[in-house]
Amino acid sequence: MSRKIWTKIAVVAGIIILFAYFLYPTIRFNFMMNQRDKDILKLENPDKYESLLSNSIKLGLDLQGGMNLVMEVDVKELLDALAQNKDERFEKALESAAQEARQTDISIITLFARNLQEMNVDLARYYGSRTLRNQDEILEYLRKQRDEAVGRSLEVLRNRVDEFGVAEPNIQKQGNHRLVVELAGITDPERVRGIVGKTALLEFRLLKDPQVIDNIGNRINNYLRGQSKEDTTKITQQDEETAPEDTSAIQAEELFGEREETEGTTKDTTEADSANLAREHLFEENLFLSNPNNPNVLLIPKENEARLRYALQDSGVQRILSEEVGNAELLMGKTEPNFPYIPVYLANKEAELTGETIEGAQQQVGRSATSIGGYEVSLNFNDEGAKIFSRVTGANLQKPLAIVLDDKVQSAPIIQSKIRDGRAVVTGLNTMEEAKDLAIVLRAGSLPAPLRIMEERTVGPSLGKDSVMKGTYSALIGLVMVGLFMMIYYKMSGAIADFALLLNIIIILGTMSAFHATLTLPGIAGLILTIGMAVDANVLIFERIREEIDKGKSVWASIETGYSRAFITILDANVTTFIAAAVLYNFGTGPVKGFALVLMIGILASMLTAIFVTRTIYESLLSKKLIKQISI
Amino acid sequence: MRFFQNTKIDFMKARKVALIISGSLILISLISLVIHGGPRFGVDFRGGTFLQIRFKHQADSQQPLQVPIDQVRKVFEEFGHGESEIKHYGETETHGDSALQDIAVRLDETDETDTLVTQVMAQLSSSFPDYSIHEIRRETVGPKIGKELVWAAIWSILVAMLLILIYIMWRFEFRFGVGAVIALFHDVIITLGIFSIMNLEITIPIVAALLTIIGYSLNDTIVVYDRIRENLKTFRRQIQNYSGIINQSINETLSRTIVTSGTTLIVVIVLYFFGGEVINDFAFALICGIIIGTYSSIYIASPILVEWENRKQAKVPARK
Repeated sequence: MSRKIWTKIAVVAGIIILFAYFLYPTIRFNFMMNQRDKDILKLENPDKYESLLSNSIKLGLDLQGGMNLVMEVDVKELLDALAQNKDERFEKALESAAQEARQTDISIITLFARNLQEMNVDLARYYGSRTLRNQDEILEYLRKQRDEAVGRSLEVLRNRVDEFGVAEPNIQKQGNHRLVVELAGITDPERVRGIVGKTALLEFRLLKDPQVIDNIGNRINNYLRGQSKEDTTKITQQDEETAPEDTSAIQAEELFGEREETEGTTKDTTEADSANLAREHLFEENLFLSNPNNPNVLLIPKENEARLRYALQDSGVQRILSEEVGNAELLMGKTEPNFPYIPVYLANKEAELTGETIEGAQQQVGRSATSIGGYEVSLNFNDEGAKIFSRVTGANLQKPLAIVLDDKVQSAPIIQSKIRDGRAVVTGLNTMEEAKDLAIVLRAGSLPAPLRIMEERTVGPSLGKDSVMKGTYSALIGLVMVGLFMMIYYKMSGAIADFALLLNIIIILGTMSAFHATLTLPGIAGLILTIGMAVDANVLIFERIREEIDKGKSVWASIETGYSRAFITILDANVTTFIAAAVLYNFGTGPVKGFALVLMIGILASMLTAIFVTRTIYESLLSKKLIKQISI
Repeated sequence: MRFFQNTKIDFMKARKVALIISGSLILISLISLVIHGGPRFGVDFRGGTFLQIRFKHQADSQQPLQVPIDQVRKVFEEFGHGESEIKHYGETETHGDSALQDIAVRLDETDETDTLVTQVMAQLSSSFPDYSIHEIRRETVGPKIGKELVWAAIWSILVAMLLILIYIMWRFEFRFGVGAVIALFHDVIITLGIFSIMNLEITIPIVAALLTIIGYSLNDTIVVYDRIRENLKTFRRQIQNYSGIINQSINETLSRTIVTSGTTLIVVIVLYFFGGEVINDFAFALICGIIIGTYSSIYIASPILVEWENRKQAKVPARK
């Protein structure tokens, strides 16, 4: 056999090995591991678990169950909140603008301004000030407020992400005014709808003294480490008795990636087993670490986040808290990307004052003597807020005052002096970005701009499982039927085409694994369609070879001519199909994109296998004199 | 095994008949579309809410397997939504010792969908105490987004056709491009017509199916065109008869056309029967599209070339 053919065989083998390698994590994760194995791996070797997870094909929300929300900021509420001297005409103009905006593409601000103009009312009547005199200035101001509200909502949502209790939540801005939220494996969509629509709650809360914090940290550490298996079971039972209806409590199942089906099927024993097992592994070492640089905060390594959430819900931990400090609770703080710990604060349950009293907040470069070179945020309160703030700051000098957004500590600056005029500055911020984020958060409490759901697609996990099962079933039936047909119609050549078809499927799924693409239900449909269409390239070649053999050419010459003639046809036919698929990919929303993607990869894969792989098989068979005649 | 060896069917002879058939199919499609006031848009494009509610009960209980739609509707009536479209969705299934039946509900767009659904679900649970009832799918689309999606869909189909036209004109001749695109319009309109007559909804997956049909039908057309192009080169001096060349080309590729359409139809039919309710209409659109697309590459795309040539011959007086 000539060297050239050996090279070709090596390339074919290389392709098979490469894509099989890409596909391996998917197969291992989905078919070779049960939930218990996954739990153990997740706890013992989170890095390996992550890499296995991220290298397998992701199932779309329609297959694993989940929610996809497209939201818009309620600009009507915003316009309402910003206005002064509101009267009947204002309400009327706003209401009819809101009605119309729901049906058209024109923005509510434009419609509102037009409505007022028709009524001969000046915008300045409601929004005018010394700096905003004419119509254009006000319109620009309102639009800017709207854009800021979108950014604010994004921050607020990101801050709330933990409440959804799902792995890998995805929150993104879409276009200028929309936010897209993707949440996999949601068990309680109603709760999510509530959370995303909630107005942000910003509070200022005092922290407990360092000694108290230290003491609490130690007691909880000891309690958690001292727990034996028996103790845990007891406490869990107690948990279920005391708070069976508490939906906001994070259940152990959620933490470890297990999801109860919405249908309320009883958990089987393996799931209960793995939850127990998870608990045994949980607290072998101290959970809370003290922070040498800041005694006001406890630290928890980021990889222990699941343990922390579990501990915060634990009834024993809650008992310790109520014994030691009845009026305080542990709150998580904002995490920084390059700081490997989650800060945890012990804050008063009672807020000193809320964000509604803030009139404005602005990030700026450090100006005061102590903050030169750093960044800071200035904020000012309204009269009522200034009064309270003056009292709180006066009574708590040199103590930290936490800024808390939706129960998450954003920053805990130390009170340096009594602030009487309601104009405060938060100093010591490291980057402009940090300052900007804090300013956004501070404004979030005062300007209500609730999110409205514009589009929702929610699929229950059981329906997703159904779809995966039916899709796989259809694909297998289709594959067997097409495979048999090809073998009957083209005999051995049909078998070669079938081999190419299997390779196609491996290439498509392998490519999707390698690029972390998402497989959706339409994607599975695309795969099934590809099974039918992928044989086309081979059919074209085989028919051509048959024609050439009919003309009396030798086997070698027939194959040669067959492949070269059919190549042009295959190219033209596939390019046009590819165009249609590419346009679809561009147009498509989530699931449909998955379909177009599979179609595109499928077209490329089928060209590769038909033109190169099957030809190599023919050539090697013929040159090794395994066959003299091809059966086609 | 070979089904079509050296066939010599005169396809072009029947082109007038085919034209009449296609013409009437398109006319029927358009009439149906006009009567129904355009395609019947699903929630994706029209706005509103689609609910899939799963009723589950123990199979050995005395309850009938079919969830009574009337009773379900009564519950929706209590909340002022009795006019909503409510129907069984998919077959009754048994899993172990329990049986499932899904109900699909289409609600018009309201402000209070959320509270409405919560109330309805609670009421359903108390009206059907023997069943456990769960909402397993919800799709809500605001009217604004729906409108945007309609335009995006129309644009995408037009852009796809334009790009394809350009590619074919570059690789073949102008007339080939025109023939292919007319065939595509033919396929899309008739598929839409079938959906309209059968009162099926146009959803985003159906638009995806339409674009796939465009791609597939084109694939078929190009294979025939490619052979025509090749034969035109080979026989330039031997055959005066343009339609003869086209007939020969279609016959030569007939075997391939039937085999590929056959295998594709096999998988799509499998998908239709086993793929589940969610994918059902999508598979149905593809079945229609593949049959129409195969037919149109032979009887629409190719005759256009012949007609074009005949017109050209008629215009240019024979030089001798």
